[in-house]
Amino acid sequence: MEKRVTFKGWMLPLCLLAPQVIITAVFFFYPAGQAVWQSMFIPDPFGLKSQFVGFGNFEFLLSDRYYRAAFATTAIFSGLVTVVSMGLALYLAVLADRLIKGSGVYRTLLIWPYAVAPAVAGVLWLFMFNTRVGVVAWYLGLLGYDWNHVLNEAEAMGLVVAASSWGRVSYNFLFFLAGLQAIPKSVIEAAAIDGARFWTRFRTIVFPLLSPTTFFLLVVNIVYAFFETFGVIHTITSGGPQQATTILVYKVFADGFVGQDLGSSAAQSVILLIVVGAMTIIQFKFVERRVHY
Amino acid sequence: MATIKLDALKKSFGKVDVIHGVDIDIKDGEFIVIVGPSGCGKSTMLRMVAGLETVTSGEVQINGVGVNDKEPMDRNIAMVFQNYALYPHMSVFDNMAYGLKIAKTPKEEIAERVQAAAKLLQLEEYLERKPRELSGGQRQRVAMGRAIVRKPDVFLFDEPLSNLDAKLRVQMRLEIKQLQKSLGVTALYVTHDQVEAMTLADRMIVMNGGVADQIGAPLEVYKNPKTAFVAGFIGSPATNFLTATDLAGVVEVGDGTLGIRPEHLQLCPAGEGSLNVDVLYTEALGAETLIHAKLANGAPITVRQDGQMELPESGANLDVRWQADAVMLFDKNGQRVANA
Repeated sequence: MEKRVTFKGWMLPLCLLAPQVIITAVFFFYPAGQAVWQSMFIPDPFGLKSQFVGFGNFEFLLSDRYYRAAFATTAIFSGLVTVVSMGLALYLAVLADRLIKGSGVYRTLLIWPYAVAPAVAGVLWLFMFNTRVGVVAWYLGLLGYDWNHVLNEAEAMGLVVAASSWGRVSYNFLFFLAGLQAIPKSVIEAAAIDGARFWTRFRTIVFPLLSPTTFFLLVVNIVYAFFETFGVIHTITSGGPQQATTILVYKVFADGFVGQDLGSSAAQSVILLIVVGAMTIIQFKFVERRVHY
Repeated sequence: MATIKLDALKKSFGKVDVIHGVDIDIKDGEFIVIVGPSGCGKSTMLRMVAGLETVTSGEVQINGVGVNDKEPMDRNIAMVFQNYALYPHMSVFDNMAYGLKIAKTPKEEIAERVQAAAKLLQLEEYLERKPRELSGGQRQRVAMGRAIVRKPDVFLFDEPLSNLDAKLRVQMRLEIKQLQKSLGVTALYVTHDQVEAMTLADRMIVMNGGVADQIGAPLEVYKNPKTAFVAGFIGSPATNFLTATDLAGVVEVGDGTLGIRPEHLQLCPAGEGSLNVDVLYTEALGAETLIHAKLANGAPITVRQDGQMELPESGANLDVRWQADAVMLFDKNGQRVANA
């Protein structure tokens, strides 16, 4: 079936496209172009002159062990955030799907955390786990556990992962619940009559039928973990201790705006752009093919 | 191979009673059709036998054992759903093999049984296809195949033909009947289509508002309906019901009604019959003709006659007559009373 709309002239399609094209140009192509341009220079600290170095910034970055460490940190961090937020959301959605009474209230309450800005969420978690005044840290102390994410790298990572996943669970939950409710009830019943108990049904029927939703969330959550968690990390750990929570996007900020190495910062932005772009393309090329039935 | 017994089966959703106590003994290998209009509780009853709905009171027994507290998978039943409920992400083969795989049947046996079912249902060429690549009739067959391969004690059908077009429905109806007879499996079949009920059933349960109005062989139900509802629901076109004012003293019915089937009425020239009618319009269907007319007081009446007979003109003033033993009398509650 022909779904394309055909236009007689050029004016109307141009007008319809213009808003999206202008927004993308102003807020994406222009700054991205600037970043590419800047990545080939080393400006002096006062921004008075800059020196052309070609790919020098990139060469330096790729041989810098701190930068490579940030890559590893990002992989761990985004992997954990994606798994935790999606796993928890799926679990809650499966439970909510079986709920008959009060599902509206339950759903609304579960959505609230999504309305909290990442930086605010970061501050909330920081207060709870503050080594001196934090409620959770205090109770952990009573249990004999000495919580100190300021010094302990694993604890710091755990805290930023928890804080970043928390709000995200709501978002994922919404999509998973909608996905679950789109599965015809009779298919589940047929499986039950065929002898499949809850877990078997989930594994062989529900999860496969949910895969388009899962795939979409996977892409969105990885992009989220790469970029939007900046606020959480900045408020809770500032990338520390010992750069243990410095993910790529945080390093862009730390090197550029704190370290004043704008050339390197721009080069990192370009690398980040390429990495995320490539990852999204790979996901769509290879994973999407398998999730459609 | 199984017998089923429903013992004072009741179902309520909250305060609403949907099934008011149904009793029936189903023999091994019997084909039982539950028929009734939408909302009469027929699907709910089937789902209680399947274990997809809880039983409010009473008992469902399969092979003499109460199964009220058993899960669907522990009842050894198979069900064909109205929308087929095929697993969209699995091939036809996997759809049919699913239950066997869960039962940990050996691989060779699964392949053998699925092949046999596919052959029986003419699905052999489609085993590798996904459900979305099949036509409605083929999907219907896959759903049947999924039920067959597991060799269940009981087949349950929930309006399995209502999503098919008319021609296919007639064909599949025959196939279901043949299949059930050749497999000798006890079957419970829900439909709102009285033609399906008449053609498929060994016995049928006519449901009316959660009550089994009549249970019996199709022809018995047709010839001898116990209630006005059954008389009106079974048989097409529907039975004419005439009240005392319609009849104007021709037959004494008191505050009850007289039921007469359109096929038991004959048209004759005015003055020669029992009731005078004005012909409104006729529907010539080829083999038969339906004549819609109105009585003197405006009440509608339908007459069915052979297609060979002469068509009356619209507006013609004629009489209708009938054999006295074709009349069915009902009291004011719709219960059948003996002919006077």
